[in-house]
Amino acid sequence: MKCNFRAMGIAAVLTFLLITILTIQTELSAGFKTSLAALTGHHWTSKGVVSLLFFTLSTLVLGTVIPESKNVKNSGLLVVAGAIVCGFVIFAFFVNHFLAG
Amino acid sequence: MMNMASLLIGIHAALGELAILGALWLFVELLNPTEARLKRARILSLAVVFFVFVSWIVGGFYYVSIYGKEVKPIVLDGPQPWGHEVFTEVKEHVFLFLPFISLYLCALLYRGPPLLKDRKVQIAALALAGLIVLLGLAMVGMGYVISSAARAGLEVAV
Repeated sequence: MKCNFRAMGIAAVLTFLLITILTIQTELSAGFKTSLAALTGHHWTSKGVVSLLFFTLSTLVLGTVIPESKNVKNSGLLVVAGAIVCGFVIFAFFVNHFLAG
Repeated sequence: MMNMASLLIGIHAALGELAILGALWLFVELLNPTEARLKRARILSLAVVFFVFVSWIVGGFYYVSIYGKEVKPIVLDGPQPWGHEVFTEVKEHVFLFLPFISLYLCALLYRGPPLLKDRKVQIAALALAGLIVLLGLAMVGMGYVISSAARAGLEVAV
């Protein structure tokens, strides 16, 4: 099975962004948190399931529309950068949320 | 006799640490790759995926069934509420990145351009393995902070 690493890398970064957005929105909206919880019984479980499905589907879909690149270094580093940036955003959000009371 | 919470936390942490060790070993194998080292790195990447996913399931079961009801209130009412409000929240969400990073690395080693002929593949693999190690260590550190906050909460209650 051939892999389009450019598509997979972009899918991974989009998944990190989705997790970040879901995380922040869950904290800011009780209604959204309840809706997420209704999917699987717990909002965190829903985030995991949604992100797994999103990553799988977006890898497959993007793999058909984004041309493959031979330069996997850029795709790999994009995944690393995406994880670091999104991780930092989540950390900064919760620190700010805690300090704001 | 160990209770369920301790058992689940222990298994979750052990699996996570095995993932960290696997990623670190993989990193070292790829610093100066040969056919034999690449073969070991591929097997290690599969092991890392396995350990991350099973750690996710075990930790998730503990979090959903025990932590929310029994531990979270203790932390929030104790002297270190930030243990939950910052560190649990960050840990439970940033952890979700690890399965995808590990899957990408595994796919890269098994299905990517030949690593021994392409230094760019090597650099990408090293960066991903290194990130798994660093994120894994961050998870361990945050787990410690959360457990300490729970202990502090219990001490105040006593």
